[in-house]
Amino acid sequence: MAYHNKGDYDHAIEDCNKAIELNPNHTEAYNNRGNNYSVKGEYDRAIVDYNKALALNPDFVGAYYNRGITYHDKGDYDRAIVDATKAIALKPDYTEAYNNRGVAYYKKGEYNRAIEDYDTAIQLDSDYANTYCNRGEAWLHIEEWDKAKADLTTARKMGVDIIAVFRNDYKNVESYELANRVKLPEDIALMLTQRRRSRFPRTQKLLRADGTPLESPDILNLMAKLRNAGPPLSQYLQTRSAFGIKTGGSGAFVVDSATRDQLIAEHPASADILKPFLHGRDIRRWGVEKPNSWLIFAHRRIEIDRYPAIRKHLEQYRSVLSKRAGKQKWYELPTTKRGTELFTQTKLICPNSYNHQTFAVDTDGFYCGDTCYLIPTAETWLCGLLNSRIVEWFYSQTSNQLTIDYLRARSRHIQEIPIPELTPTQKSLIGKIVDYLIFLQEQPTTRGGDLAHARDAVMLRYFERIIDGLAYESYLREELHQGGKQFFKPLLDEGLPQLEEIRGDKMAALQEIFECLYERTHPIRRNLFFLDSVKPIRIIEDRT
Amino acid sequence: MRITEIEIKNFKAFYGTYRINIRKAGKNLLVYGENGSGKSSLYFALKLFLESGGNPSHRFENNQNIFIGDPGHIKLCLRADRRSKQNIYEWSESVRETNDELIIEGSRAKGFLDYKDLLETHYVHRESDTVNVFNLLVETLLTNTFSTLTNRTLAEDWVGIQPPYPRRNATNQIVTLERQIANFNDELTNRLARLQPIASEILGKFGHDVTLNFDFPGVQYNREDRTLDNQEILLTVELFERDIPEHHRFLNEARLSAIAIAIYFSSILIQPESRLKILALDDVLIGLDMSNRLPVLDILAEYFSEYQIFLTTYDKAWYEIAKQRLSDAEWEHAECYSKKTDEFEIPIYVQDKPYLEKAKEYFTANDYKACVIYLRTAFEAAIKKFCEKKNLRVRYRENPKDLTSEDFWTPIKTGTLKAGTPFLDQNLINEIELYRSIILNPLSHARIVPEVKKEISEAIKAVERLEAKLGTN
Repeated sequence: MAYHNKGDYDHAIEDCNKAIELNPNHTEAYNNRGNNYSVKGEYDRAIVDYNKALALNPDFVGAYYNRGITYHDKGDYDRAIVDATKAIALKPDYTEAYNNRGVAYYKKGEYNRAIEDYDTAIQLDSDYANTYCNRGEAWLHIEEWDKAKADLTTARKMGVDIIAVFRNDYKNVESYELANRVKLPEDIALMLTQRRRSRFPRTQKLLRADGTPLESPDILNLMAKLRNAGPPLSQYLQTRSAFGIKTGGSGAFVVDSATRDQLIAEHPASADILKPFLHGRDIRRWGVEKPNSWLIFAHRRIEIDRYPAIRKHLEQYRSVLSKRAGKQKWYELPTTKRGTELFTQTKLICPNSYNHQTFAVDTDGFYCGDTCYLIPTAETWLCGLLNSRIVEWFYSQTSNQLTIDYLRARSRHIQEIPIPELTPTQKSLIGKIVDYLIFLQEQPTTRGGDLAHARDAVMLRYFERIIDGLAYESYLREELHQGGKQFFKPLLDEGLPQLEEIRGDKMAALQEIFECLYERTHPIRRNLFFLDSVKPIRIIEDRT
Repeated sequence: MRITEIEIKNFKAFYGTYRINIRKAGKNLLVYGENGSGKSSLYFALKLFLESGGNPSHRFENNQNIFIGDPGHIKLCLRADRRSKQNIYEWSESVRETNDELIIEGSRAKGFLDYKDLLETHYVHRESDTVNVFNLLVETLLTNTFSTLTNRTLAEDWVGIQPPYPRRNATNQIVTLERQIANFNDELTNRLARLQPIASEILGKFGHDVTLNFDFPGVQYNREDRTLDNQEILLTVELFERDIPEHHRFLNEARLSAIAIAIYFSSILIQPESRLKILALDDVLIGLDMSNRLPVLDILAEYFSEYQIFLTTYDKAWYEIAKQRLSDAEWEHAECYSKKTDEFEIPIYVQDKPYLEKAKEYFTANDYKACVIYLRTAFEAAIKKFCEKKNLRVRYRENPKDLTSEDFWTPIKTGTLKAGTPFLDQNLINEIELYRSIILNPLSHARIVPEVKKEISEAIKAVERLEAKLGTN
């Protein structure tokens, strides 16, 4: 029952079901099923399973331990403490259980008791890096700055990403200070802001019955490697990404083209505040489906009487709009006035729910609803990076908002995507191919399923795989180069033209480029064909 | 990168340790083998070895020889060229060195075709005027080729669109399924378009100056009946740019076999080459008549000169012809025989190690069953070789396979040199006769028990003396 990928927890649960069907008293199968439910976030089911395991074997330490973690994740810290205590009673040298009980006390605000438990854990195992970090955080709360600094330093030396741990609980230093009404000493604040290279991320791990963590070390190491490839997106861009405008469900502010035309016909000034508008569902990979919607951009403090046709339109909804919570006037959008440049500048957008990375470049200045996530930047190469297989994998590992098939765009997790260090030439190469893809995505023949144009569908996918290859090389340079696999160099050698440099039939030109790169002896074709012989890529492409 | 030696221990039919030396240059290998002689086990040893790297589900222990408790292994020696160092890769229950990029890539680009794959040509669906090769291509010839769209094998993509199908109101699932079907159709269309000219060209080497055409309308999901319709690829043949009337007659089974081989070869030739290039054909030429077999050798030389080729056959006559035809500089050959014990069969692999040596090895290892088999083989080989050398008159049998050891032994026993002296002295004859009845005769030994250990030891000595006397050692 060795399933490591998130999607496979369901398989693992199936396996446990079978084991239980064969032997209804299979204690470990209940425990394992509980673990898988727990990881999936189905805490109540997990707890039922642990209960069953404990009813069959009241001395099953692992089940107490795991149930404790599940209660913790559920937010029920008191029960988490009870279970950790039981586990400790049965196994007095259970380091992890002390640590976990400490975390639960910490969450309850009982910092001294938390520190007591961390002390014991560290006495039992002085190499238990996470505990130092946890104790350091606890010292912060009781303002024992020197002790805090000592512990955080030890933890960092031992490879804990203390910034990630800190951010797990608090957004940043400022928000910690605000919430706790303290000012952190400058050196500690710096430690918690400036990232050093670290080896292992901290996560509280569920254990199997045999005590091994549910995630394989290969996956953990790979995650750590990717995290260390460069600064997180938010830091790289230095701009804030955001969801689009909340328009409310009434449909008052979003109109179709016919209504728009009518509003302009009624009064030409309407055109000034009617903006082309995207829903998340309009976003494709690379580009957007031309929308048929328009936003009435009735921002804060708008002089609504300058737009009589619009006002008349909104009047129909007045009673509904008036009932909204918030300080806005009935005819205003619910949010405060946002700088319109968030929308009008070049940006990357993705829908808030998708089953594959679906970022698109928008240079048309679309206004977006709150089903879209916006990253204002002119660095369109990032669109290629964000749509690559490796980033998709990283994101699916960090984003715990997994439903069965769909990932949700979570601001925090998107902002945490590490951006590898690349030269301007390399970035512009990725950008060039992103441009090809934007163009190809717009062509009806590349959609697939039309056998007369099967080659065009293959071509689009092939350019996407080239993006995958470039992204892999960006994050896993050594691993790829060891096996002689390169993408940047052979592509740069080709001297590919910028899309806008191509005169005449762009499609024909791209087909010619594709045929050249698809040639069986071309290094790009060969390296893509054999890409998943590289071990970390086998993990990412689910080939293990 | 070439394989220079293969060591197989206790894998499938292989009982004990077999070393196949393909020389420092890593030559091609032509193997003759009787049915059940381990010839196919060699094919599978290579195939599973290569595939095991990328598939943790391939477990050596599932292929362990079932008659032996001792754990086995497959080891491959690889060498970039004559002068470079050799690297050994092992696959066994406890070691999995096949996880290496070199092996995984070799597996992706490899060509492995066996006679069972070509049996499919017998079931090809013929309608009045068309030949539907959908199953032949999708379920056999193209299964291991990789899709650019999904990065999976065609077999995986095909399995992915098999029933059970979603309920009629499960719109999302239906959309997903149809997306997968579109990928399957696009990829297959693209693949057929690319291999078509090469397949036609290769078919030309069989002397058929024709163009192959595939008409693939694309499989289609029928939402109403929840079935996958249009499972057809219609094969048509143009001769000098003219359609052959009644070409379904032209496409008899032998020609279809040739076409299948041409398609298979071309499917490999449109994919990138790996550093380790292996092409193994297990008895696939058997469906071809003799006139179509020689062209295959030419095709291999022309299109797969970079590959290391493993060619096996159970047709002795063809083996001899191929042996003549293929240059010794590039090809090594070997023979496999199957010997019965009272419980099971043991393959005997003959390349250069004398049987008697092998018999002694097994004797030392206390494996008397295997020892006796090799001893018997040594005895039979010695008398046969002597008869051939001396041109002794051996009883005529319609099928040379039916010749018994008695047929060879009798003329030696009774024969004399020109001077009238017998080939063998009576003592040796008596001794051999004694051991023939208890050990050297396949029917005589019911069960080898430890008490006969001494007899076996004596028999080894007798055969050793016989070999010396006959000058066949």
